[in-house]
Amino acid sequence: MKALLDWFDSRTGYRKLVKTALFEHVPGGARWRYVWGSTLTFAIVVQFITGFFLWMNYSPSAQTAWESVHYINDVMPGGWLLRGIHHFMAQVMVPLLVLHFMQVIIDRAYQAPREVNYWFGLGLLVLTLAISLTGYLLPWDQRGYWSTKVATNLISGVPLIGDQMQRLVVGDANYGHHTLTRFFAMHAGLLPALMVLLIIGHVALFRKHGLTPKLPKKKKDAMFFPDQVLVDAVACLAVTVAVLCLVWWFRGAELGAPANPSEPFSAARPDWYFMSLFQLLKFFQGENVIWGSLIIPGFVFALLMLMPLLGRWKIGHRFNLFVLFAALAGFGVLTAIAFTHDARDTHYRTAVAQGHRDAERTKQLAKANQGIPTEGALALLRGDPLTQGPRLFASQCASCHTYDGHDGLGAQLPEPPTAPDLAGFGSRDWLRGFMDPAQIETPKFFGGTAFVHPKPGEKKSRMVRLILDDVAKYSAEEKAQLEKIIAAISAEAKLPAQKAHDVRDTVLIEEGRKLLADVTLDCTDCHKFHDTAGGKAPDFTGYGSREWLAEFLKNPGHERFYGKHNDRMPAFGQTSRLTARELDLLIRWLRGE
Amino acid sequence: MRAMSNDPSPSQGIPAPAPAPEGDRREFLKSAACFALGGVCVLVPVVAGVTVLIGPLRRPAADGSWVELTKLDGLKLGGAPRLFQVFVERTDAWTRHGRNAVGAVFLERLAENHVRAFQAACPHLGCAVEWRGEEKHFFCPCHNSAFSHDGAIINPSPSARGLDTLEVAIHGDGGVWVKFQDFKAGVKQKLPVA
Repeated sequence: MKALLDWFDSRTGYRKLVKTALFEHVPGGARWRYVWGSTLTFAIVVQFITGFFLWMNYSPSAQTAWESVHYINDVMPGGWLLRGIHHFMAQVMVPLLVLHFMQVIIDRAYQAPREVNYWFGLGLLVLTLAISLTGYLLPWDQRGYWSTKVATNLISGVPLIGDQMQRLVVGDANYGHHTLTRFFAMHAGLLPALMVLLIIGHVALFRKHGLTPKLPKKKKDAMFFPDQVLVDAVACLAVTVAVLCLVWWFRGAELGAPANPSEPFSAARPDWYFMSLFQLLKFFQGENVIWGSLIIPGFVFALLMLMPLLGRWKIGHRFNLFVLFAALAGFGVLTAIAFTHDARDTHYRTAVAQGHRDAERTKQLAKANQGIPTEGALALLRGDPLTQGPRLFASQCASCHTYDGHDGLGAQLPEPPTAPDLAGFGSRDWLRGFMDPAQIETPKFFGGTAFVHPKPGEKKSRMVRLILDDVAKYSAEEKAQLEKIIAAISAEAKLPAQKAHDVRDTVLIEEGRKLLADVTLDCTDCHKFHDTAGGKAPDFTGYGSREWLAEFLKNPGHERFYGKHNDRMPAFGQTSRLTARELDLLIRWLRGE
Repeated sequence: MRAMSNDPSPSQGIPAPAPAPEGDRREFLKSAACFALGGVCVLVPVVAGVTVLIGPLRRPAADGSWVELTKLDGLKLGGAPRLFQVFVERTDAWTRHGRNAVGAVFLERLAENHVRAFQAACPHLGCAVEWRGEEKHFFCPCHNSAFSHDGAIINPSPSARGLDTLEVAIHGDGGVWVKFQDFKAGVKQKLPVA
């Protein structure tokens, strides 16, 4: 063995290299304050390792980016841990960078003759942030998509060449395949390669000039290995444990709903360390945005660049310390403002909650479908009643109707509803409430309609009068009959949620059907029911079923439904406000399918 | 030029240092601790990565899929072997494909109710074999493996075995169904690919 190593040494001189690498002089002994550079190097090594394995499973295109990250995160064994480490190590690198920077300034390690090395360090800082920014888009989820759009739109504000630069970065006028391939090439190719070069230069210059000791020296001098290395290793272990705790606490890195260009995500935010810049943008109006995006950050960065030169001035070091803490305070205050603003913003919180729901729903659908169609995960969401129903309801129905008291998406209507609440429409509960003299005139049913508030000189509708006058005086026997009729009408809807009841109560429902056909309680005076002819009120045949709702929505003023008594309900089929597909999604959601 | 190491941390596997002076247990323990702690730190991302890397080894083996290629009356009795493309529903990682091309099969009707099916992938190294009508044999243009009309090796041949037959079922409606499978290339035995 020794002979082999001797041979290798004579050909390479590796022993000398190892010796110079390890047996660096540490004046004043090993100290905790020297660990930050090592922890950063370690963090970058971890990012290279985890990044490489993620790379092996990632596919950068508009139809596969989210999908492949979902596959890594939620299907591949260990994938959530791998992606979690990569994500949270990137988060942890930012405070490590700040600590490293503070130590360098406070201990005067930026001053002559170490100016160039300090600039290398600043270059590494910028590279790290650039890698974070490009990585944020790669999962192609709503958050990354919309917040990166802000960043690329800022590029177009660069004087003269902004538009061209933006197009080069995005790969086209709009986001698409080439945005991902370009960002990915930067994130996993050019930027890490530059980083390696700068780290080599950074460490080589660090060795050339030696460590800047913190004075006064507390202990006698030590060697880099093993004394400082041991301290560094403990610090790296602490970083590892911190990252693993974060991964565990947050159950891995979040993957939002797939990017959807037609659905602006109002909770789009950059990663937390960019929130201060994000906040800064809010202070400038119109085309002044360049102050927040370029001039102020550029000025601060220029001050940092100049620190070694300013440090030669008599009170330069104190000035630099002031700049350092002022910059940190600015960073902290702006970040805090941004986060408290969001925490108090109900629209933001609603959008976040909606994003979580969509993300979970997409994953559920992918699982139920045993995979994602070639069109991508968005196609799953677009064809999903549970996702699209509430949105369609909010945009098309909620100007008059409520759903369980809200607009379908959880928000309140700006004005009181003028039409019934449609949650559970066609169910026994809903019909029972409708027939209740105490409820029919509430906003939940006809309270906001012309049936209760007729034009001056006209009477309330016959149905409302029947409920208020007759039903209120029903005998016990008549009430029992009504209950059977309700069961029979409700069974027409064939609601999935009521299937068990409909099967259990076949006898009851059959009795109800007979009562309807026998014109008991006068229902079929006005309402048609299968073979029993009715009058001018809506048809009970198939009431609340898919077919009934589809026809009703197409034309509620048809003779089969309200006829000329229709109160403001639009004919969605005739105005083509909704496509057949949208109608179907809305109906399936209303019916709880 | 004093040093060119590009990493002062223990994260890139530092080679053993020169042996510590005898009796210097403290120094030795320190060095050992450096390696142990550094090792743990680097092991965490490596273990996570390798777990994901070996995922494909842990997926359950696929057991071929039955697919209808044609109807009996589409195959002429006594005709030459005909090549049929095979499309099956397939899940590729996250994507669920509708009908996706997975390979090709030679079908030949030997008797009224008897159809023979050969995998078109050469058992040598997986190129696609073709039927040469004038020589009445199968031929692989990659490495010149030749197979007789009944699929046997024509020696000398680079292939270790004859063409792979596939299970065939004739359904009541005349549908010709084949159990499409891939087999391991380059070996004598016909082993389904997991």
